[in-house]
Amino acid sequence: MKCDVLEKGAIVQRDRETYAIAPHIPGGFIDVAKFRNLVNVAEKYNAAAMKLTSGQRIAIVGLKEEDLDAIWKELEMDIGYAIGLCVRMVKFCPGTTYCRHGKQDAMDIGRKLDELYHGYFLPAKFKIGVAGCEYACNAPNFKEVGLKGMPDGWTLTAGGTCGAKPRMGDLIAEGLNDEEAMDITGRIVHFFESSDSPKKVRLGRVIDKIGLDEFKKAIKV
Amino acid sequence: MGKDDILSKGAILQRDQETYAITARLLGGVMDVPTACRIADVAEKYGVKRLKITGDSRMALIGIKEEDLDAAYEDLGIKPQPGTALCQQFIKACPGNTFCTRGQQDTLSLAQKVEEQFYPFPKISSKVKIGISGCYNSCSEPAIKDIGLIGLPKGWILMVGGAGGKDPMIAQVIAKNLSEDEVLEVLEKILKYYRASSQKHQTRNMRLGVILSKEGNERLLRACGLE
Repeated sequence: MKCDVLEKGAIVQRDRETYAIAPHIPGGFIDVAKFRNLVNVAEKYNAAAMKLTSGQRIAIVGLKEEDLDAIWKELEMDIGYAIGLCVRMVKFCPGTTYCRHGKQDAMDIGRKLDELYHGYFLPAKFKIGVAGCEYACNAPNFKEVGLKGMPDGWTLTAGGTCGAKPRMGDLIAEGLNDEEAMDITGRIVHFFESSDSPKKVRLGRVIDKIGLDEFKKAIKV
Repeated sequence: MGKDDILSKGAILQRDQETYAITARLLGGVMDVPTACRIADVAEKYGVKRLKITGDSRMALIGIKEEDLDAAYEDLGIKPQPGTALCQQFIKACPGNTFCTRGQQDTLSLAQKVEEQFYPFPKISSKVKIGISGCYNSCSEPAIKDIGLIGLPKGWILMVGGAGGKDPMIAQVIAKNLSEDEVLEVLEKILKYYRASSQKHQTRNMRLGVILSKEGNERLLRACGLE
């Protein structure tokens, strides 16, 4: 029976025969030429469907295992870490680049965080969400690290999850500038990396176990 | 006078105060290759600056000129849905047992039935977000939707009152082991309750979770026959 092929970012499908891949599309922003190429590749390799995922990616579904290498070559895109114990994605909104509601530059900081951490291996899956205003369209409160752009800077929450046991992120700091927000995010990632928490236990459970004050002390906030 | 969102065309004014974003409505975020091809055609033809997969797995086409909106919709082969593009109403679904090895229920079939029977959800003054997941992993985030459904081997778990945005709330489970027909039956009653509450003076424009925290769950449970 076939399994996921982690190094090719390939997720085995229900038929246990074909695969889905989800190329890396930071923040879900894709230019028209790239999208056209994606569609052409999907057509050429007889994809069953394309699916817009919750991680702001486009999954191409129903691909044959023997075509995977050729497909990645033709896509000229990176693997999206949709599976595995790592920083899965940095979700971000249009922020001050496109959206009228934007209060902070979510695309800029989102891209930087994506470059630094996307695919970074950790004890459990780890999600980052950056929203440029208080409407929080990508639900940063329910990510391991969530940033919300307010008029006076970033509000940072940590430990949110939205899966089987949903947990709201804890407020860590407010009124942060870009560098401070990046810095604290980095400290949280490295705290989690060096913590001896068992595999697959997400950050929120770790915070519950040691207590919020202890967690803040550990990340020097 | 400056430009504004054009609600009747589901067009969102962009930061340049000049161009618009529209969203292509795709059931459960799934599109076949010809549909994807059509989106690429439209994006090229109307000089779209960028495509964006939104937080709720819809496809936004950013940077369309006002005078091109009607033609762009026509070429996409979809009708603009008033009010629906502003993230006010949608149904988000995971691949379910159609594609995913973990899927325990048919999310895409349920999403389609909900759309056919109820969508758009008229006369509800606040947002209506529905999340349908085929397993406990919840990749469509049902716990932060007004109405969330999780598919398990024995049937659907139904939860209500979640929100992910400005005032985040985790939904509460109100029923378990529902069949697809039962889900649709209860859903109709929840929407009716939400509609009536959202027109009352005290609870106007409130998300379902806020209404429930003010009024308690009893009325909703009674209305749904779930006491």
